[in-house]
Amino acid sequence: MNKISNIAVWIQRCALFVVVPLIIIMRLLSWGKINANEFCLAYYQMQAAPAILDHDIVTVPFLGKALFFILESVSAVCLLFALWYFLKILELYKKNQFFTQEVINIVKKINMIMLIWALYQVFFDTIASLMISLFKSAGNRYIMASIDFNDIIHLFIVLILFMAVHLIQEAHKIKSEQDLVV
Amino acid sequence: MFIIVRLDEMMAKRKMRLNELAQKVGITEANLSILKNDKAKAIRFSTLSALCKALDCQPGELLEFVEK
Repeated sequence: MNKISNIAVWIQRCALFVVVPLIIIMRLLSWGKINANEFCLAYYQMQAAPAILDHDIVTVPFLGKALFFILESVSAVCLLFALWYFLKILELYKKNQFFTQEVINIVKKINMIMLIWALYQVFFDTIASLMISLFKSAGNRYIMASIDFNDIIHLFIVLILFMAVHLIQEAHKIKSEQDLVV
Repeated sequence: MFIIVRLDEMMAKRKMRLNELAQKVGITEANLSILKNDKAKAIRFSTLSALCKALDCQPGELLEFVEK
């Protein structure tokens, strides 16, 4: 077993026993904190007296809570999907398959999932504000758009992955030719 | 335009089998097949030298340039 295969085994164990449970637990724990979510509060305030500003005494209805929980969980689901494909790559690495067409296909899928994830991060505020607006009366509806430093980092990660796909494709070409060198 | 490997003819002249040649040259039969069937993208000088030594011939007798 070479060094990459060896590292792949450890990353796989770490992902399976630490990262995946951590993402799921963090997501489940966020259910309790959802009352403090600014969009959730906005959702609540359009139904209750707007004077209530104390986050501790705000109780959001179950449907509103569930709606925002789903909205916030989309990025976690994307990450779990990407991680699942990543584990598939590690499985191939363990079999010493580094630059095969199968690896390229999986990395492309990860790239696509990460692109959706990054775009979702950028448009999260817009989607959330749009959802709240739908419950408001005509004339009081609004839409919000924002982009911050984290969103740029997320898009940058996608760009790096995009480069990685091309690098693996080139490596696959070189390997195919190398296989035919006698 | 491509290079043809005349390994078949040379092996027939020397009455040598593929496995025997593979053993003498020190490469696998699969690689020798790639060379024999003109699927090889490149050949190492070390392999060519070993082939010439095993078949007792010159590189020019093994390789031929064809213009098509």
